[in-house]
Amino acid sequence: MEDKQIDELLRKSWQPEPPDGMRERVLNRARCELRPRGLLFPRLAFPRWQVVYVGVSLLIILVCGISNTTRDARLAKLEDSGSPQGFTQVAQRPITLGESRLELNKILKNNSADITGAY
Amino acid sequence: MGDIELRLRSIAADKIMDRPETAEAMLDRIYDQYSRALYRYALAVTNSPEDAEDAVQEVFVRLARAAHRLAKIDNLKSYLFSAMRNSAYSVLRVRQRSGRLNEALQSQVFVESRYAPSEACEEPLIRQAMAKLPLDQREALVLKVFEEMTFKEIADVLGVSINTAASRYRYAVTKLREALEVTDDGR
Repeated sequence: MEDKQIDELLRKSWQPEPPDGMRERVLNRARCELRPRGLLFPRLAFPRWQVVYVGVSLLIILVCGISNTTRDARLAKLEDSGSPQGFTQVAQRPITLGESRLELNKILKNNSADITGAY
Repeated sequence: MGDIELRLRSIAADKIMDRPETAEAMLDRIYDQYSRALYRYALAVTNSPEDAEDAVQEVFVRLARAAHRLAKIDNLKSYLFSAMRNSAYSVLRVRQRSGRLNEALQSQVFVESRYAPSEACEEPLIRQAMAKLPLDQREALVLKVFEEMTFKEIADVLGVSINTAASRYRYAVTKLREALEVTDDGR
């Protein structure tokens, strides 16, 4: 039998067909590889790291805001409870060291003047 | 250069391949043109329809990952069959490691081909003879007979010299002829 006859016989005798549904399975899987990688929200097309960055920033702002609000409330409560009249007193500005020395000198001067004045 | 290669080149020039929907259309087209041949080749290597499908899927997954490089491929057919060979052998190695190699040896993919009432008596014989061929000879035979590749193309796919590719094909055909002639003599 000639080679060509054998080739022809072989082509005729073995004609395997791909299984049913193979096209959808193969192409669906392959199409997944075409989608951009690293997107947390593909529809928005933002990279994952940007979404995380913005999220963390917003969280920090929120936490600081809550912290500020609770601190102001706590301070207001303290000021209210410390006043005998029950009304809020304006907190005195703490004086500096220089200012306290001047005060002291003034007091000493007045005292010394009183003493000298007594004699 | 085939029409798909020309189309790939023109698409790449417009950078349309950067768009997933265009790459999908190209993948569909490549699948429709080559899938049957690739599946047949994978089946000849793996002897298992499930493994052959897995191997074909792997090829198209890699093709999708390399979609932006498709335009640089000169011979898409050789590229696909080389990839197919690598994928099929990879599946065989996995099967060997998992101890399923006997399944392949017992597979009847060549013998259980569709039988038509008008089928000549040589057809089952030639399928049986093909099933008994060594893997390397069966590969060369399938690529030559079914894909009508040149020996140069077969050598590129198999990673051997042209002479080796031709020799494997010749040995395969000789064994098929002997199987048929034995039957003729026995009548």
